[in-house]
Amino acid sequence: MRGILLAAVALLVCGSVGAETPPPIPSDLPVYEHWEHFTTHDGLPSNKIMSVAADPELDRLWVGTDHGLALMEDGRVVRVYTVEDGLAHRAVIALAVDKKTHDVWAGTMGGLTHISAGRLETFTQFTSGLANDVIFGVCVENQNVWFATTAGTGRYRVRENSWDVWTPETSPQHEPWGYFVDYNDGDSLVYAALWGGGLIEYDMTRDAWRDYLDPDGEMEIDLLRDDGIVHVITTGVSAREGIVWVSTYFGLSSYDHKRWRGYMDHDTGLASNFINFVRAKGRRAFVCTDKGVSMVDYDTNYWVSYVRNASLTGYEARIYHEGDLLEVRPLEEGLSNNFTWACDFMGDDIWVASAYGLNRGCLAPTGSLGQVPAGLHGSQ
Amino acid sequence: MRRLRRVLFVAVMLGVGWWASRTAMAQEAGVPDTVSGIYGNTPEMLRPFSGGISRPYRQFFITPLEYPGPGRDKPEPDVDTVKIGVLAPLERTHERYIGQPILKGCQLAVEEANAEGGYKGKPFGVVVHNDSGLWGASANEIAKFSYEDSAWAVIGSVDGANTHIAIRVALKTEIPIMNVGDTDPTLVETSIPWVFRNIADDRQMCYTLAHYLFEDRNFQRTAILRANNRYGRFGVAEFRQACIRLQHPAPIEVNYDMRWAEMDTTFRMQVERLKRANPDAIVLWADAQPGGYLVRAIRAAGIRAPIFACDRVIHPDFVRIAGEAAEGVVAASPYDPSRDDPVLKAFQRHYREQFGEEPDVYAAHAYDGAKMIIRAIREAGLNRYRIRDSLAAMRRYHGVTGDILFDSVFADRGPTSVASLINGRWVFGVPRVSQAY
Repeated sequence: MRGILLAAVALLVCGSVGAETPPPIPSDLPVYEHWEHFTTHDGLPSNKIMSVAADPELDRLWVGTDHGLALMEDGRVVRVYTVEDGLAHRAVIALAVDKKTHDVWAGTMGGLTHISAGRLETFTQFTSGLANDVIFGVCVENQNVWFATTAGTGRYRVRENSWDVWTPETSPQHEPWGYFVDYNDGDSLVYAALWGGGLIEYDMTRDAWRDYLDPDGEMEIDLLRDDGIVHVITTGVSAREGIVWVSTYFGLSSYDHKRWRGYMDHDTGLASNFINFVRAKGRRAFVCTDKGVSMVDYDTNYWVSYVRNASLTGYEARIYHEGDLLEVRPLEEGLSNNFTWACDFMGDDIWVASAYGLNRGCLAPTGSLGQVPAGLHGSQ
Repeated sequence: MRRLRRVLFVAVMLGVGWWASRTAMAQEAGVPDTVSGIYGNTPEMLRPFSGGISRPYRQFFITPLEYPGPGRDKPEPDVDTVKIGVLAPLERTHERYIGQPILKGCQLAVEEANAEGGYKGKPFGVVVHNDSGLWGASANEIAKFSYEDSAWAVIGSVDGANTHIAIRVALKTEIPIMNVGDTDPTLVETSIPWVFRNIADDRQMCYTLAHYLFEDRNFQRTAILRANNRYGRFGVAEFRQACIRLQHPAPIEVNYDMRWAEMDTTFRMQVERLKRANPDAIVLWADAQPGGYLVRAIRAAGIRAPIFACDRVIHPDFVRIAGEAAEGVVAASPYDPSRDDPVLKAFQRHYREQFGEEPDVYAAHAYDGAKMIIRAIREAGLNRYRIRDSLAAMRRYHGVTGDILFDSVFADRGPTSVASLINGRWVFGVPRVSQAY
């Protein structure tokens, strides 16, 4: 009995000490201290970058803008695809690369475009099984392509040339408003973030869906932090190494298939609760918000946020443990704009699509860091 | 040995504690946010979980939404016409009776603005797209407004499902949306900083009805009768919650199929179920036509319980179909069109002269919405980001619908009204309610 009591006290003491005195910043915590920017000066068709997808094996980067799709190789724009070339629409808001074939699937505001061996093929709701022409999310799962549209979430079975669409009538969707789809190679689960419908999970082995909703059922509050997804207006999902990350305009959630955890800007290092996109790399999540990019390590709860400094004159990387600010590292350059739409990874580098410019973040100097052209930061 | 075991046990537990403190799972409840306030004019007794939990982990919609992105320095282009988009259900939809007045209200506002010189001598123009509601069509329409039509802002739409679809495209294309006809409370509860709504929502109208029914009239058994679409489902949501929170749970909630016209205009099943529930009041959330048939059927079945309805029944179709059965029906209304206000009277006169009919609630809010956008364009110039900012700064606007008071999510929280059908006419301000939200 005394031992149990002693152990309980020890747990409490240890827990409280752990909370008040965070361990030193891990040496392997990645901090992107070197940033390079790409704009129309570099050949991009627009400065409004809405999507980005890396093809590391070919050292290619696909960049979706509101004026066409750019292909970058070795840090240079080598090709721009426009509507005249067969692109479904000028605004490219979602991208996915098939890692086996290196084909590209571009979700636009006017349909889905498949780029294969230089050929463009476009699908619309009038020429295919797409539920709607505004393709908010796209991902590749084996020989299938999944898409998120405002009228349903679906799958294009490329080999069979057949289409499946799931709506509230055919799956546990609270609302049909697909916003994002994600698949991790080798997994048996496909995830879809639904605006107003939380998260749904498709188990390919059972051909069955499961839904996850905000347990409190209220729009204007999050009652308890760790009871489920923080809000049903979900904007993105990324599942890697057993952890599912779900973004919303109200904060971030993680799920390890046992427990949920919520993250918000008032008690973590999250730059903003307004999250446009989340992408996991290992057991870390990179979060694109309207006020910068944040990274969180699931196991240690260390955060790195890339934001403008308080006087809006410079850039900094803020390192947190939970919500405690541990260190502020001034950066020579940071994000070209803090309103960020998406990100992807090429090797150790992160590529960030922002509302004004494409950004490359590096852990070490590259030797060719760009400068921000005048006026690039808008009115922030 | 026992001592060693105890030491080992404690050591293991210490290790577990240290590990737990380092992991993401260490925190159990998080730190509640310090920001607090009242959202949506919610009375304390109707606040979610107010009876059990003093403070949620986080409250939303208390601080004003912001758009921190770039764009405000984009130069003003040279245009022939300053285009304002109108997305409304105009044809091939059951909400046509709402969409048509919205278009007329917008047209009237634009004509008046052009008579006053337009924008720096350039005329305003209305670009119109039908909101068919089929397979997320409003998403495609917002994309067209943004990229093909080069509209500076969009007014619309009506159905909650379609407007939700529209606003998330507006976020990506960065175009302001002024909603004048969708009373779905959740539309603005999405944190999209490009959305404005100048019409009171069903949350406020439900609060007003709930207060009147349960506090002023002391009804005990209120049945709910609604459409089975999103309008009905979300329209009564706050009323249903209020019934529970005020200790008067609805004994029955009946819905009717949106395909009622092809299926059963007698609504026999719904009426029989209502009769069995024997309510002392009925709350009805329906469009004007089915609302008329339902009220007629309810009275024909001998159900005498007073009927309280949504604002959509304040329409000639409802009175025409229900006939004498409509007498005494009370409806919530986003505004009071009988107000003695010279601005309102002038609008009603101009509208009658122009279109040969009385403006309804949607025409009036569309007129105000168009006027607000025109003012924002004149203040901000031809730049969608600055037009958004100008609308966001317009926290109080006096229009033909009265004072429009934007809250933190840019939704009108001015008080709602009620009306009673007396001798075939809607009389506003009757009954007198002790609290309007």
